[in-house]
Amino acid sequence: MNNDDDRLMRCFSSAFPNATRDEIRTAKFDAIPGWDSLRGVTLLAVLDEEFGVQIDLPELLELETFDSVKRYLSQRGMISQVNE
Amino acid sequence: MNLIDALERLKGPVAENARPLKVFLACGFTPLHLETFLAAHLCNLYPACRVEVNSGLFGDLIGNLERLRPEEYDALAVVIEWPDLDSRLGLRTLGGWQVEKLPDIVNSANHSLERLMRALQEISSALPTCICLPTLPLPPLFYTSTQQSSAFELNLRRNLASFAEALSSGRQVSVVSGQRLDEHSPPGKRFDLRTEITQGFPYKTFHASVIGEFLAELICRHEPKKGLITDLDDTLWAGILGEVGVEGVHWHLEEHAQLHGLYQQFLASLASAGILIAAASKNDATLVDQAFKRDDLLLSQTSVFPIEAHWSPKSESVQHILKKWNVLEDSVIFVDDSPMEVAEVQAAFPEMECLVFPKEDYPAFLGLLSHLRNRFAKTAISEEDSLRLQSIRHSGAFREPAGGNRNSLDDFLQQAEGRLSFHFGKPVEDARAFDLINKTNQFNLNGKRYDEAAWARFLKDSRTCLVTVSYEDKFGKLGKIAALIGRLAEKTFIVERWVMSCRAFSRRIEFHCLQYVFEKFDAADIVFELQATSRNGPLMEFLQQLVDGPVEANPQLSRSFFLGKAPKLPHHVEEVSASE
Repeated sequence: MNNDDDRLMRCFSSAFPNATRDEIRTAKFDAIPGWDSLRGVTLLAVLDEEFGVQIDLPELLELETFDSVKRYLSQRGMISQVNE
Repeated sequence: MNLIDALERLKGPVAENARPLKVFLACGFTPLHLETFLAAHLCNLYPACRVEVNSGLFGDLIGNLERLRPEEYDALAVVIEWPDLDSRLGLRTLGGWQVEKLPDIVNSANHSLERLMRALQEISSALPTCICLPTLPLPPLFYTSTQQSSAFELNLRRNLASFAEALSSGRQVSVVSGQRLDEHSPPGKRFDLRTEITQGFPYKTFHASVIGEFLAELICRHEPKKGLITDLDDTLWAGILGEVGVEGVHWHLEEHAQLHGLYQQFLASLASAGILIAAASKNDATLVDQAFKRDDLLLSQTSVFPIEAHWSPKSESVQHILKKWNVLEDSVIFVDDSPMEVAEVQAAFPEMECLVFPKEDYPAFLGLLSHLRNRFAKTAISEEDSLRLQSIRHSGAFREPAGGNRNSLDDFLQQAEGRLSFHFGKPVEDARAFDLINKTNQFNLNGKRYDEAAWARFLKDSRTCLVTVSYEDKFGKLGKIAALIGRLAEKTFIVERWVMSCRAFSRRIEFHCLQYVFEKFDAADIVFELQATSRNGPLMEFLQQLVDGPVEANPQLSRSFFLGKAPKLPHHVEEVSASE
């Protein structure tokens, strides 16, 4: 796991304290334990704080998974290139 | 603290038996990250507590306050923004900003303030309340340019200031300092229109963190320090007294020594608020005495006690001062311009806060004054504050009567013409007993404190009683110096809390207190809910005199045993109604 991955995982773990790393990495957002819209908004705020990215909640829900968020950040140059 | 840190702080383990700390956060917007930050800062300030922050319905600040049940919480944090006063002062509603509507907006906001005032006055009588006034900009709804304050805006701000002033006079109400908030969170960088519109949360996370931190600190209310020990040369005044003489030291603007004048003025302010001030200087005592007689000195000699001027190490002076004040090292701050002297005192008193006086660093100097103000901060000044120094000046006589034996102490106390007043009852408006119980360390039965909410519950509890004790003698008044809380169970009086100010030691007031309890309640025994703390040695020593063998948990003292052990009780005693 690289540094970007760690930073992103820290964002998710802080927003979803009851979810394991595996659950975060594999589940769709609405299937992550503890998911609700408030947790989603919290995730948006920590992503903004950590990566300076402003995403709306509908946009986040369209991204669906941890890996999709990672690709999204990578495409915008906010983290290093993600290997497909 | 950023949001990830706050969220991780809240994930930290809490002891199973941790005391709950329940805070209600009242705001009109979605509390979101403000709730997180407030909880995280409270966790930092109360690491032994299980912190719980609750909030009410979105968009209904006043209704949330009106529905609040104070008995369910330990504190209330209220965060007001302009839309709480009239939704047209925000950006989530479209009520219209036409010129003809502006007077109505202002009137409606003023009515909301009146309603808020009524709700908060009622709640704050039962619950400690911290209030943050609007921190976000008004939208551009007035017809003047944004560089100009319109009459409508000025009207709103005036009424808001009057509202805050009226509330702040309440004993349990604290208003967040707008000035301090401006220093920590730049006003132009607080508002987030995007999250306001999409999430109903108007703050940038940084601003939410600062507000959460300030509210948590107001809820926490640190115990203030009791005394300050200051150096003299190049600290209280500019110049070395032994080199330039009494007329050569200075502290005025025209002599380029304004910082020293400001420091004197600040110490005089602390002294007037009941903070003990002493001087420790490697100096010629006669010269120091002459310097303190200069009539342009801003800190009078009578406000400084004791003055230790000699050539021994500073730590020795500090030791003498602590003994004369009868306070512990962690209640005191030491200030000296010499880093070496500061280090020497710090090594001898590791629990004491020792600070270097920044005589040539203007920003650091201002920082020092702010820091000291916070360390000695009080929410109100009591009569006892004005009596403290005088009573300490005279307390030396009680500790060291001629000869030092029991008979000479009997004679001395007899001649002191002491008068003790026992106040029986629970007057709500008298905060002195609450302060004594929460600030006294040395003569303290068990170190247990009350927070404001618990105190309010205690005052209403008919099963327990409160006795406070005032003392005065021919040397002057000490004011209310002791408090005792207990309950009667048949013929046994159980003492739950018992504290006495260190200023009242060595006068046998503690024996008088027990005598009063035996007589007032016709008790055959007294049981003490004793708990040794790291600081209540004097109380333990006192009880040691009254029981055979080591003092154990919840010691019991019979009336007959007490009468056999108690020395001659020298003071005139009277009982007065607690409201007198």
